[in-house]
Amino acid sequence: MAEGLGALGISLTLLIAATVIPELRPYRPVAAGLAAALFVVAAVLPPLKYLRWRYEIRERDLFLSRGAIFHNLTVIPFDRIQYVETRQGPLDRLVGLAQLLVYTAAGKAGQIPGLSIPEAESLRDQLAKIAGTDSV
Amino acid sequence: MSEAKNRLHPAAIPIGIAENGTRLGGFMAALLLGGRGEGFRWVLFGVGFLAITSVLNPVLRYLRTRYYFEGEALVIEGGGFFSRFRRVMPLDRIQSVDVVRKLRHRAFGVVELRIEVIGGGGHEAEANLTALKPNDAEALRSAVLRGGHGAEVHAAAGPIIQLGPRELLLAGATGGRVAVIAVMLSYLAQPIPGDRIFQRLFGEGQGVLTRVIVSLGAFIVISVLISLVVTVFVYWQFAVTVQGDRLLITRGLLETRQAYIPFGRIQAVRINENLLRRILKLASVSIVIAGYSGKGQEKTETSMLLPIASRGEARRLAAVALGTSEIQTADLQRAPSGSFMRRALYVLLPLTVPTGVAVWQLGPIGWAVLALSIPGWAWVFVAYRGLGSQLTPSTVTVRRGAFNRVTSIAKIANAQHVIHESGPGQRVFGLATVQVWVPKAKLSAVDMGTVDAERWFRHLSTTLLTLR
Repeated sequence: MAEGLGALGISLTLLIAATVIPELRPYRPVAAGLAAALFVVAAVLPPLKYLRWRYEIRERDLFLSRGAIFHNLTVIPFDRIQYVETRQGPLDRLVGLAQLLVYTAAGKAGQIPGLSIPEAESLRDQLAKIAGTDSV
Repeated sequence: MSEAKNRLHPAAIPIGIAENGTRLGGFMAALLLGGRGEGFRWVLFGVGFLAITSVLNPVLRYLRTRYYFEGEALVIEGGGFFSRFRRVMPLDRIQSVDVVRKLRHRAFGVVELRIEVIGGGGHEAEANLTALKPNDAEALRSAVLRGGHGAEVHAAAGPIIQLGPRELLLAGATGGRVAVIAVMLSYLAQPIPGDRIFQRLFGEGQGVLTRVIVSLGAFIVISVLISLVVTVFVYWQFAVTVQGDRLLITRGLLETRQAYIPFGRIQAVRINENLLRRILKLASVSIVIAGYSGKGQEKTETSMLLPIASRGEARRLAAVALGTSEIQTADLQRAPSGSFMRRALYVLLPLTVPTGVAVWQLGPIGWAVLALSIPGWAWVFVAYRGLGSQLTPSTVTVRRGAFNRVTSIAKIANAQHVIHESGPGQRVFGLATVQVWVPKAKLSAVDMGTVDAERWFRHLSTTLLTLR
């Protein structure tokens, strides 16, 4: 959702700038074209990403699948998980959501966004218990 | 129960002053030289304050620093002007103890001990004991490493690798970008009839071009000479010895170092071959170590396992570092031809609009703009040929690089998580990338065929669950 809003914001800014600033007025058709393209991205990309995002807690590992344009599959064995954390950005807090981040010794291994707060906390505690680590 | 607390050697004071002088001397001189005029007395006050703290801080650090064993931990207490600390390091968390001897240490007959712990890896070592008598440093080092890993540090049988001045000069002459550029320029210049072209195109301007070329040549020669000198100084008497469960790397002329690296901390090995070294069938080997500190050039030098050797020697040492049987790098699986097609397309795509505009404005001759893609295609072809990968039951090997080829090898047991990724361009050509993440490094098998990528992903996902 953040990327969609960002794209929408940029497209509106381009349109407004091309209308208001006299030096940019000759480029209004280009600005309009860019704005239209960004608007399409803002409308299409978030639902596509939502449809592709999956996670599965399997017997011995966590499996993540995500990405609308770049398809990404991640496997994180439980015994490699160093710690898990829940995080809320300003947009997440606005809509009552949170994201879960999973870390291994190699760094951030995966994240699951768009979870309700109880779901995120339950998943965090579940993973921490399975992995044998303390949750953050 | 704690033991008696030990102190640093008094030479820590002049050594600390000298280090502060090196760090701040230039800054203070610049202030004094540039700060004349209004407010110069404030500049003097500031410089004076810096000078006084540069002297007092080492004195305070010497007076406050103590080290001792407490149970199964090494405790270091210390502090300067503004803070004091007490650092407790469990012996089984200490992963390496390095002995460093710079010129200033030699002047006073002391050494510096740098201690790294598991999970560290910031810019500085976890603990620095800046001045110890060599015997005290050796006793502390042995006690720490023996207590940390529960194993006696075996006496070394002799170095497994030792480099003499000839090898170091070769490393200096073939290392770095300058030597590679020199080779490329010499190859490019061979077929060009330089004299005739200069006279035809530049006429009276020939003098300017000659001066430019001479300057460039002089720059390259000077850069190579500097590279030679620096390499010899940094890697003088370079030797690698196996001591029980760790490697001992010794090196250095003005600043000597002894680095003790436990085998269990080596996450991956990289065999580096720049263009010039590939022609001469030479390579260097570096290691990825979890939790090793240092930044920039110091980190590069610290992780260097072998500055120069034949390819066979490089592979042999890489296998020793990883604790595997012989490593093969010659018969890696190449990327499918779709990889070249995809990259060539990415070179061509940005030129479509300029070509269209050129054809519209200039007519059929506008198609010549496409010729701009030829150097890009040449680069893409060389990069494509550099791709390679191999999966064995216990190791994963990936290679990439156009002119500077890097072959990375890691044990699957060190992998933390695995990622299978495919972009839109890759999917069109039936390609995908598999990433194997180890601490401090990522090995990417780029542009594998879809079937191979899925096989890798399945095998790695399964093997990670069984190997530790």
